[in-house]
Amino acid sequence: MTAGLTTERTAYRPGEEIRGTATWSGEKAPRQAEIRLFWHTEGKGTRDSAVVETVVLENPLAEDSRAFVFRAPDFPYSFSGRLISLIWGVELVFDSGDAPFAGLVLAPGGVEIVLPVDDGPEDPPRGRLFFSRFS
Amino acid sequence: MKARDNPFRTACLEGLAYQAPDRDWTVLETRLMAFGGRGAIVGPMGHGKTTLLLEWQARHPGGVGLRLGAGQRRLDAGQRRSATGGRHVFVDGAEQLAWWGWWELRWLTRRARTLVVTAHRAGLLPTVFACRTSPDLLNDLVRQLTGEVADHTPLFRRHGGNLRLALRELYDRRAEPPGFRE
Repeated sequence: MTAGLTTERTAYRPGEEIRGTATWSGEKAPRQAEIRLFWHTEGKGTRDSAVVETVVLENPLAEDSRAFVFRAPDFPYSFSGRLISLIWGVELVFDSGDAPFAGLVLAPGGVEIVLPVDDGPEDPPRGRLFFSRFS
Repeated sequence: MKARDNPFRTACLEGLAYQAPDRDWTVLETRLMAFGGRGAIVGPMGHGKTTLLLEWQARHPGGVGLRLGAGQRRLDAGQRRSATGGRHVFVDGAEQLAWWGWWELRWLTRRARTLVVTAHRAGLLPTVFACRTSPDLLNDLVRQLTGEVADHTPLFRRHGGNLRLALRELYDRRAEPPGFRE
């Protein structure tokens, strides 16, 4: 089976509509097909994920195309740091296990939040600390 | 580097297949059957026991996988239910169980066709495979993840052959910005 998933845009603000189209083609009609809006984490530690909304596609055909609409949730925002990235996406899931995926950004301004690198507190030079009392 | 771009992120590490020249599924299954369908994968931490166990479980659709947390002395209620009906049961971290928890697991899985566990040391069940690591293995994994060829023997030795810790250190190195002070 070949399948694909497209969205009108790749970046959204909270509350906006996420519109897209799922298309697939195979020899047999899938028994089940659904589109999920979800987020997951990537990084050093244990991965976390959550499905936020699911649209079940009724009577999927062997060759088919379906439009979908989700409402972008208020949180969590897409972000990236050194240890964790939170990534939003839409996936088309079949009973066969196939699941094409389209990544999204969901954040204020439609821009992924990039966490600043924290290289630890830096002690001010002792001389500067002393003279700062008189400035 | 952003976490999602780091070649040593968890998703990439989980995508690595278990690698050992002497790992042959036919041999492993035959050995397990010779032990009455009960066997252990043994090895120190970070030597690939869990990876091998998961691959073994994937060969048995419908197999039951149980993962024991640190200090878990007994299966929880859900795990007990899963273990009871399982035809092929795979238990990660069996050394966590207390003796009564261990014998409870043996009793619950007495009708299972196979019971495979991982443990740090031999002794719980007959050893069907002993996981080993080497600097060459670490170098090969890094090459698969990054495409870069390099000798990481000092890193391997510093972590005593624990590949998980070695790969986590490589994650940290990639995550640090250029010129980051340690």
